[in-house]
Amino acid sequence: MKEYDGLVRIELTLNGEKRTAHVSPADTLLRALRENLGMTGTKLGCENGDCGACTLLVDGKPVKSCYTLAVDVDDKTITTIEGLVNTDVQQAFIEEYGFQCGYCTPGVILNAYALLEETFEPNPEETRTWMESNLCRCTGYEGIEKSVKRAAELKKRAER
Amino acid sequence: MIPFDFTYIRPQSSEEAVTAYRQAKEAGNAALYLSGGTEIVTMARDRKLTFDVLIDLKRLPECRGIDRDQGEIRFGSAVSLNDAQKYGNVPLLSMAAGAVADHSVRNSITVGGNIAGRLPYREAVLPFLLFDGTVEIAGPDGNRNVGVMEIFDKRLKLSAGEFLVALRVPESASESTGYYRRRQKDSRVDYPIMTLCMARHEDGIRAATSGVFGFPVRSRRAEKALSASGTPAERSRNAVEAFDGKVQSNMRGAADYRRALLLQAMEDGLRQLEG
Repeated sequence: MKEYDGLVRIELTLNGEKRTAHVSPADTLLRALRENLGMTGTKLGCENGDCGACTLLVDGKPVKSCYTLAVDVDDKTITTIEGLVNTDVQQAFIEEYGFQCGYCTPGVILNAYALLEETFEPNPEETRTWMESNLCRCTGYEGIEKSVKRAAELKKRAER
Repeated sequence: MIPFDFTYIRPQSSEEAVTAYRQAKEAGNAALYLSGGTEIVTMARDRKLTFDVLIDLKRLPECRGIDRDQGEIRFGSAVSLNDAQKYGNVPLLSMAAGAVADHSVRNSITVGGNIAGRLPYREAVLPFLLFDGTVEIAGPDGNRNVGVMEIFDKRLKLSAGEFLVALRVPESASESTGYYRRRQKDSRVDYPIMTLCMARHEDGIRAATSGVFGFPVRSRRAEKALSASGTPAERSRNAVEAFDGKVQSNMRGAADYRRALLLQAMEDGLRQLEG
């Protein structure tokens, strides 16, 4: 049985690197990443699990970090937006104008990335089901939808 | 972050989990079992819920996985709603689990957490009610298996120190496509104002609903009305009246509207199930 009380040391694989952090059980993963580990790409929005700005990947699955306890991911693999570099998804979002202010974008991109890792060519319903986890106040979602579609095309082309 | 300190415990067995709970109580501490955590963490952040000890059940081997076992399909209580939805062999559970919250949140919400949590909708319980499922419970007095209809009355009636280990349905549940309808006030990602699951069984038509009465419910009186003679419209009207409980009325939907949604859904369900 493992007990976490007071300030505790957790170990995780963050964007491919082994990292440690000292956190309290009361710290959410969102706060721990931004305030202890310097990963400010993950954004703080509603802190209620609604907006998706805090989305990142835990063991490859999109999860909202605002309701995830930092101690809960001790020994897990985390991917934040800082861990995605020159991916097809990011290229597609540039090509298709999938963002405006950019605040929701890290969460949107990570969710889209996870979708395309799981499903080779998602149909519109699958795309909608995944992407409705992220709210955007700027784009009206059409740019995001087109970007995900374009990302799937780029990925398909790259894997041929 | 959560604005108060607490101890987080990660047990490696049900016995350790129960012991941790007992020790917390003996020390005069408030203890809670944690599954997905989406409710607990968001409520704690606003101080709507406080505790001294959180006992995380997610990694207990007995709470994980989906298996076929002795004529039943067993869902560990820590199975995420997305995994339950993807499993696919219990179509009504796939539909019910796949409609809760949004896709990312469903990677965190667990079947057990949805059913044993504080939010009243508990939609994941509907197929387990419908197919006379059973639950495996661990607690201070040992483990027990109980019928869901026996232990669920608006919510799961667990004793202090008990927690949900797994839920089971008969394998025959996988042969039932059933009928499912859910209605929300605004977008798909919203709490339900009406969810209905129906299935055709050898003993007649079965129905379980959430959102209408403020809690999930399966009513044998309503099922008797649905299985009687008469047109689908007549039987549905009688069934809606036979449910125990007051149709709720709030900002999301007035009682008359919810009743009308349930009525229409039952009528359509009967037509679909009876061909």
